[in-house]
Amino acid sequence: MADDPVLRIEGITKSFGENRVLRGVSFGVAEGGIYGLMGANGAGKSTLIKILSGAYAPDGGEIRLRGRAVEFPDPTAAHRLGVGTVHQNPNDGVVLDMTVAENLALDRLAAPGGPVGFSHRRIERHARDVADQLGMRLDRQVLRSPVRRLGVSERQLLVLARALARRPEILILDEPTSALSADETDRLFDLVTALVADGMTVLFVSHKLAEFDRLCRHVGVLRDGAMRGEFFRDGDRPFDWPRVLTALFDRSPAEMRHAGAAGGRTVLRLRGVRVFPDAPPFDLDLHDGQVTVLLGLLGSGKTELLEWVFGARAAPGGERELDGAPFAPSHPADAVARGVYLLAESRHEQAIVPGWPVSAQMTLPFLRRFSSATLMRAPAERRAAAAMMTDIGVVARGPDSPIQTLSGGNQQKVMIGRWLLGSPRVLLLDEPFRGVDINARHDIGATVRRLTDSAAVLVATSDLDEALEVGDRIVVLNHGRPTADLPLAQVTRDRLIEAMSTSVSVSASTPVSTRPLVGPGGGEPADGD
Amino acid sequence: MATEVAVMDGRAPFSVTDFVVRYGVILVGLLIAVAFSLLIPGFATPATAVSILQTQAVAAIAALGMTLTAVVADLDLSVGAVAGLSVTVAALVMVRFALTGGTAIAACLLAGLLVGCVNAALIVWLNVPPLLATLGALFTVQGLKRWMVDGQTLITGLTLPGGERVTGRFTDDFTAIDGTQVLGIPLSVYLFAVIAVLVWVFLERTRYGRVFYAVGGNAEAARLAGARVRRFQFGAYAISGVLAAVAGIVLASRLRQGDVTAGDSALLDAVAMTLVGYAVLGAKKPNALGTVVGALFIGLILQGLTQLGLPYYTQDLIKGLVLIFALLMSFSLRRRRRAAA
Repeated sequence: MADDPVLRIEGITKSFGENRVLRGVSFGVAEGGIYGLMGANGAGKSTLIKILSGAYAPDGGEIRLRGRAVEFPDPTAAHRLGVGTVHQNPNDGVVLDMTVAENLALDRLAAPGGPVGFSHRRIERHARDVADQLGMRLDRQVLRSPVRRLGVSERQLLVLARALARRPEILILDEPTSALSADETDRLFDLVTALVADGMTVLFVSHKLAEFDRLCRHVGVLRDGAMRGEFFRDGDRPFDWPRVLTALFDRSPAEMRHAGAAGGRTVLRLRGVRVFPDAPPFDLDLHDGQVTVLLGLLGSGKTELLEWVFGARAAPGGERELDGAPFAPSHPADAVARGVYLLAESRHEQAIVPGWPVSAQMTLPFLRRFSSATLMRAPAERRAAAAMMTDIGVVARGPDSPIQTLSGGNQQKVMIGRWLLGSPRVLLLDEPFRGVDINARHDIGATVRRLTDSAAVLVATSDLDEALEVGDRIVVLNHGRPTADLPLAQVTRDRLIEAMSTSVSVSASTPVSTRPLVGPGGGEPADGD
Repeated sequence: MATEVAVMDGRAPFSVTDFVVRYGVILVGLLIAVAFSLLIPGFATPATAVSILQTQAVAAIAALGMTLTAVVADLDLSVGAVAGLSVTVAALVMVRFALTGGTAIAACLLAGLLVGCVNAALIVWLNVPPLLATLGALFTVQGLKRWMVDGQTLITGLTLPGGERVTGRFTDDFTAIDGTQVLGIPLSVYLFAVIAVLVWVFLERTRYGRVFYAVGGNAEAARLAGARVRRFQFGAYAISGVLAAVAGIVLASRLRQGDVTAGDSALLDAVAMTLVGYAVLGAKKPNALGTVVGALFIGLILQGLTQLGLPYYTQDLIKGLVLIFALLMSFSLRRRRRAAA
């Protein structure tokens, strides 16, 4: 580590109003290395990345590239100086209505001195060039399909390909695996390792501990807007995680273990469920007193199942029963009236009303309770929201704070708090930890656990560690059918991985061995009403 | 829109841009009022205020309905045509068929509700984009009202193509809407005020108004929070149709004849009022108070310039410039601020 860092961050500060998000962050990234950056939500990670990618200007401090102080007044300046960023939300990096080929060739076509006229053949040749360099093999059908039809993980790879096509010296990866399966993650990591061997430097942001052990020699922990510790590891030894995690949040990891709780009464009974037309029907019962995890990769049918239970989507078949009575919601309003609530997968697209304060975000489903003779009772609304914020630990100035001033983890807490204002019988949470740091994840896990006294809780996730951390019972969904249903005591990683990855022949004709690159858009919200 | 980019603060330190965005329209309005008062003797009188309110009442009532649709979906472009339809229907009922003023009012409201429901059905059930659906309604209703009176202006004493002379006339109770004054203020101005307050209370103070804004802000989020989004969208267009019909009733009461082109200009006026409203108090969204302020703002400028001798035919030019000024206030200033953040 004697060599000079290629990228040096020196005392960077940034405030939004009175909120000091970065309080002087300093660290250096050595050339040709992968530097891991961890931080709880609200720690300032996103802000730091936005500064490094030219989206925000810092209030103070400086960025040095090879010892030279630089400024990134805009993202293009960052590109020019060789700093490329792959943001967490893949939609930020692609043009949804253009084809894969057009997206891949976009930078070359848009560059000054680029070709004036272009044909489809030329675009596809450019796109293949770019893809070949990355070891991606794309057939013609894929190249010609619009990005909108790709799933989240394919979009993520495409964004990465675009960033790499600019040949950056320093690549910033912001939680690149949050939407990827294990296979796709392996592919990504092989690629990153190869690029680093060629001399590229990577700043790698993640919440997943195992990923740091695989990629990094060097991890920095950000908390409350400052570096709280930098850690190294030698050879094949993993990082000293207890120490790292203690720096990350003021809790030791041992406190986060839990013993699996047994289920109580059956609250929700599902019979003959088919989430895909080609999947066989199955039964599933949810009990209170425990957290049930629905574990499955992207496209396994988790979202479809949850939205069907909530009345937000039709399914090819199945009966629902709530507390022993028939339950057939045809609209989410029917489900909400019976105490069945859904935290949707995409916070921004499906839950948040932009610009609204925290209090209004929370009370939206229960306006009747906060009004008399249809007139809103603002004080009651604020009181309830403030109480809920204290109860579940939302960090914000107050119930009047606009939602966009909160960090991702706190926004998610608000969206969960919304449903806790009601009287939940069944709480369905679809990827509740996406883009949420470990600290907030722990808070949310605890909140959800308290709720099991009175309600059945179902958490859908594609992350094994999350499933083990939060679940008492783990149901693995694999292409629309459960391949494992285990209490926590019987769970082993290997059994879960096997159940998630086993190829299920759902019908004689469609073995699901590898997922096609172009699948049903996994992250797309259902449209219509 | 601003969900990911703007990390702004509720109580940020004072900024000039911020102040201009919030109070710009009101401030400019006051300055203009003072300027006219100094330039024109007798301008600063209650009579001028009443005149402005009465002149703008028709378009402003239609604009309040349009504001409701703009909250949940998009501008209702059929309001002018529906107001015109009211004029025609009122004339048909009272002049052609010699029925009572009450019947005429009921028929107008029904016609407005009908067009509003057709708009709503096109948008909500048949998935036509809102702006285009109401544009289609605009054409259809304009054609319909002409066809209903054979393209003629219905007045008492007119001879129909069949040789029959129409003998009915606008009844006194009907013409009283815009003609009778109480405490020196025409009834139509009271009507405008009542509707403005009702729409404001509905949008800002009731739970339905809250859901209206949720549907407009993120329809999918509203649906997944249990709001029956389509019902709210349907309701907004239906109410807008009724309010446009009310605007037409006031207009008919003022014109006292079945002019086939009446109401046409109310559309663009209403659009301007609604959009100027976006800039009031930095709302950046359709809102009732803004629409009313927009109506007063436009009315004030037109009244003053007319009294200064500005010819009638320059009015649209003035309205256009006012609209562009307001749009700059609500859109361009915000963008600069965002970039600065």
